[in-house]
Amino acid sequence: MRVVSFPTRHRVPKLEASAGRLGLTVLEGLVGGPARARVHEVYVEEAEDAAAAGGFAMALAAGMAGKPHPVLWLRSRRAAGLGGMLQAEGWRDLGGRPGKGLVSILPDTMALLRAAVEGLRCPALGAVVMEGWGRMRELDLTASRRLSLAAEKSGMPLLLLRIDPLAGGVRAFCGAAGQRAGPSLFRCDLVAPAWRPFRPELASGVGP
Amino acid sequence: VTDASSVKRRYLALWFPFLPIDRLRQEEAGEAGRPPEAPLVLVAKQRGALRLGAACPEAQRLGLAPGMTLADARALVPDLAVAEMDESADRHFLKRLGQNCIGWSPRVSLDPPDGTTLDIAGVEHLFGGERGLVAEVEEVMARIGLTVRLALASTAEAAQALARHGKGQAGDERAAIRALPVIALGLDAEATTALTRAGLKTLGDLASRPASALAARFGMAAVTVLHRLLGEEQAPIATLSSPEPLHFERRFAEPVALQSSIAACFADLLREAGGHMEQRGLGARRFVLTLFRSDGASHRLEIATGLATRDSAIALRLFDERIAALADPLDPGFGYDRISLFLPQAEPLSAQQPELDGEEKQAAALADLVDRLSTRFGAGSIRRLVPQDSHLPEQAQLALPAIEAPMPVEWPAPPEGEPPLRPLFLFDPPQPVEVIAEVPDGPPHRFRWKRKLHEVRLYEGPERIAAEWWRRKGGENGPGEGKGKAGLTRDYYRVEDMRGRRYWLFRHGLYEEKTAPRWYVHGLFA
Repeated sequence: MRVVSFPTRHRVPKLEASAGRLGLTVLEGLVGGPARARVHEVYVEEAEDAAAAGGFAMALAAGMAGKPHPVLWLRSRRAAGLGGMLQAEGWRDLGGRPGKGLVSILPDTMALLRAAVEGLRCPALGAVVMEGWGRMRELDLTASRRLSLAAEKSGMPLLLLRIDPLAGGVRAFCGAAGQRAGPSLFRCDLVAPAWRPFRPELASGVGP
Repeated sequence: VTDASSVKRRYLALWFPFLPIDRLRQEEAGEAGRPPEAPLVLVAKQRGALRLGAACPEAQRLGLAPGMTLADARALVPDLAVAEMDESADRHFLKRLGQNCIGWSPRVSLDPPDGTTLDIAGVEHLFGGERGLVAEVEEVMARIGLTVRLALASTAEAAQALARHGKGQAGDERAAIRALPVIALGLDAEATTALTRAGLKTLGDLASRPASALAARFGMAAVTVLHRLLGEEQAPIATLSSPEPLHFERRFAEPVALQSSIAACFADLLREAGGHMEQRGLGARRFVLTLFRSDGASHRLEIATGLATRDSAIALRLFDERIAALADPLDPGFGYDRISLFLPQAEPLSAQQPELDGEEKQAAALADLVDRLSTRFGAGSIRRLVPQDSHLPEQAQLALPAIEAPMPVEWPAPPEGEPPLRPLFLFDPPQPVEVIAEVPDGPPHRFRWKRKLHEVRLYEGPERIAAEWWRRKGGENGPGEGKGKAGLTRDYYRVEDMRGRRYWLFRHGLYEEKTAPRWYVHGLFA
């Protein structure tokens, strides 16, 4: 496999979170498609970024939920112990409505998953945020499929906040890019373990 | 025809001599209030002065008595604990006590401000006779921390008078009543003095005189009271009404072990309860289902809802959640021979409008979610953040169980054009940091938190937050360790490190308050 070129880095400019500016439109701009009724994952670069990632998820959820609908924030007991208690004033500063929202503190990951599915099924909510610390072994393929099906069915977004800097391998979002004669070309978005997203063009095989 | 008066009546009087004090102590038992050993008095404004309305036994031993002014009492006992008298709370408390006494006898009347009377004719054998009943009442009252005096007599008035003025239940009831002082008649102070001056000290003295003389001097009411005390006349008593409890049950001739039959029985019971509640305009907040197994074991399942409901579908779904959340599943063994449903908490619920508009539907859906999560994971697992009136950051919000606070609350809007003043996540207790390169009036240049060094690039502050000195004894003398006990002032800084992460640091104590104040990180900004 041979890298043909490294074009521009696919990096989002700095986002500013104030009163509802970060929301559905931003996310739809990023992912290029409808962002409701989906599961979105937010990872941290390092464990110290937990608060920043929490704020990002919070602002995003507040924007997605809109004014009339409350946000359900699911946390594990471990998250509340390590990351500190969620503060309504900080929540409000990020554009949310803490008085309407609900905070749930649950004993373990199984409880988190179960509560997330319950939350996704409730038509009164605007968005569900699930904050998980550590590996979350219970969040396997079946569980994540179940979550995304529930989100699709109800049309509600689920933000999965993963405070787990070790969770990385390479994630590649791949497509064909054969526009030139020569070796086969891929169009590829990579999210690498060093957490530097870039979009190189790769070529595989040996050309003529 | 049975003559009503031929039924032998018996009354048990309960007198709570320290009801206001006991109530206050019971309410404060949970929180760390005043030390319990200090003598406690309750005061109320009477005739232009603060006077004692009630005094605890300890205070009475020191010579304080109700009616004394607070200034006199303070002169006698300087380290006196004082609280406000709350008569309406006492009245409610007495009413609740009376309601609870319905467990012993269906006919309970209140003698405000501090007594209740139970008509125990025909119920005492359930508790092993009068003695057994008295012992049980005493034990229960002692367990909930109430001082009580009990007396038995054949009229309600006599029982109350014996409880309040009697010198112990020694021997003959008739003799005990005749030995009561004349104050037990409940006449005004002037009349009582007149009687004692005339040498009539006890009820027995009065009873031996002709009634006409007493009526001529003190009115017919005095004679009636005397007759009632002596058991010659029965007065009607106004009993507390006890609403019919919402209790439903099914008994089976043969034990039922089949899952589907049990489920059908649940649904049937819930439907019956729903019908009953609809007739009475009620909705239940708590449902208790008890399954009695044929070998004597019983399982108790309890659910609670945030809003009152009589919809059997909702309750059935919550019971399903409850059963799914059980650590060990229900084992019918050889079958259940009785299933009962009890609704301990019911509230008025008006007839339901079948057409719900969007908003009400939403509220109902949210309440349903809260109920399900509370049932499955416990009431404390889902909470709503409610503002509190405190300037201390760790006390500015309260996370109430959402099932108890079903209505959304409004948080005040943030100040315009300011970066966030308060963090998104708060540590309670704050986490200590090791400070390097400290400057006198400003945040440190570097600090170490969780074994990592952070270089401060930007900061804003200080925001000075004083301790709640008015809550502490001696706090009014000012802050500082040496001078008073007001607690230490905190200087908060919002700092940003080289990586752009924002922390909320504070120094615990000003330099004049403490020689080497410690630093803490209290929260993290997003």
